[in-house]
Amino acid sequence: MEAMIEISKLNFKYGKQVKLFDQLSFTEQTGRIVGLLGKNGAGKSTLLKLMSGLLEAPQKPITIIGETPFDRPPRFLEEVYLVPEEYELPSVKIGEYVKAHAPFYPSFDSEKLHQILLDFELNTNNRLSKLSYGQRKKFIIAFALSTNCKLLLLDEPTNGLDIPSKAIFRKVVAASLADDQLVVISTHQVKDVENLIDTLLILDRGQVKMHSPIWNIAQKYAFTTVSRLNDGEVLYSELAPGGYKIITEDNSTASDIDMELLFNAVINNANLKQ
Amino acid sequence: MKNMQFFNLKRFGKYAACSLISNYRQILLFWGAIWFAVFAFTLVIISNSHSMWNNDGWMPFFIIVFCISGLLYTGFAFPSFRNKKRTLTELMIPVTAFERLVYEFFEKVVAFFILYPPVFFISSSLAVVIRNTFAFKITRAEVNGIETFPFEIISFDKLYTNLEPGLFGMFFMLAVLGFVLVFAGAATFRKLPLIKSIVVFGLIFLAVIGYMYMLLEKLGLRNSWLLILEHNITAKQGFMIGSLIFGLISLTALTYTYFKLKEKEAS
Repeated sequence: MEAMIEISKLNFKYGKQVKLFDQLSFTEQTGRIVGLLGKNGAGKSTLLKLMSGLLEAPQKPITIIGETPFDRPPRFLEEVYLVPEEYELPSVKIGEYVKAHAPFYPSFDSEKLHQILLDFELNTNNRLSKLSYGQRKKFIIAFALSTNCKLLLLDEPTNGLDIPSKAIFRKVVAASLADDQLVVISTHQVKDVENLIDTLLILDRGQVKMHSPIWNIAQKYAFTTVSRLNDGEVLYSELAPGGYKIITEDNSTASDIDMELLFNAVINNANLKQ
Repeated sequence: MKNMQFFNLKRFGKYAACSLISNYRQILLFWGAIWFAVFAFTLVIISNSHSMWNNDGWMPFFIIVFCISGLLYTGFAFPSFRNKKRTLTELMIPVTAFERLVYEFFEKVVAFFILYPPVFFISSSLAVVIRNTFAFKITRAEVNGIETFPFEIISFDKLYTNLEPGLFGMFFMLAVLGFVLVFAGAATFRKLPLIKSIVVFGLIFLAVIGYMYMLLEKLGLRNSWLLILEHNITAKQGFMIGSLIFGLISLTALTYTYFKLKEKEAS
């Protein structure tokens, strides 16, 4: 399968600040939903901006759909949609916004938009400036999914969404993607995307700390809770009500992944093999 | 294919429609404000005056309002680049930097040059008609003991006929240059673009004047090429050279604006 994202030895820093990315490299193929995880300030949003061409990466180490993002040719922008964490929308009705922006995207699906707006209980007559933060977020997610862009970059998409909306978000994202699309979801709220993502990408201190399909992690490790720690088997443990949450090496049975525990294990340099 | 990526008329049309749908309220508000300001000021000026508005007495008022409102309007070009969040949304729209530049130049400079004269004509003419009606009907052709008379509706013929050949063209190019410099400033500065543009280009202008003064007066170069130039060209040729210089500087500023747009980041 063709790589949609190719990043090779990316170095990046803002002005005279310390390096945010140091020789960061990874590739990613279509047909996946990637969870981009990292602590605050790890550079998740910056990486999405670099991938969408909003920031310039020195020496052009990034190729997305065969293009250098910062060149920003329209054929690239027609296939990449970024939902930023914070954004400002014009003071127009939803219908007017769609009328103005949908023609830019060749694969835009109006029926899909209509359906997702219904799921999110939004009306096309609503004025964007009158909507709450969460409602605007829902609208921009609905619009992004309806563009059918090959690459969707979602930066903290569940921030501001209420609990039912988070469930709807997971449902619509999972239901509306085609095999030739790739979604990268950046978040620090791992629980929100736990059952959605199929690939995990963890950033820490300017490097990719883990990049692995979920099934691979589930096959290799077991995530359980025990009352007492047994030395030797445990790769990582955390104190939890009633005992310890642990990660052990287990090749026998696939288990549900505790994403938070895994994230903490990776960040704390537990000896996990990918 | 490469050219299609640089400028595509269909895509440009989509972008124009998108920008107008998003910004039509601000555009209408601006033109409404211009219309009302011209109307109100005209009414104030001619209600206290008995001779200024006739013949081409309205021209200074026309030029002052043109400069102030035009520079204000152009100074707010690229409204999306005034804050980070909107910059981000704007830069993700699938258009080229050149298409963005052309649209904004048309909306903020060309459209202003085209729309300002008729808006000024309509609003000032309405003020003149109201003033004439008011003066004759209420005061019976006498205000504060002074006999009133009907003011003339303005005529643009005098813009050309009262000026030397070529001078109007040079003034026109000078106006274009002023607008283009502010336009370039709007693409460069995020906050207070108009003020920063005026300060920066004002300093550059002063530096050029100072340099020329040093060359001509202090180093005595006046007696060489400038003298030859002064004696060998007509006024019309001089105006044409001036127009050409202003045009070239405008083109340079537009090229600079293009590269500023192309290199724009949303950090």
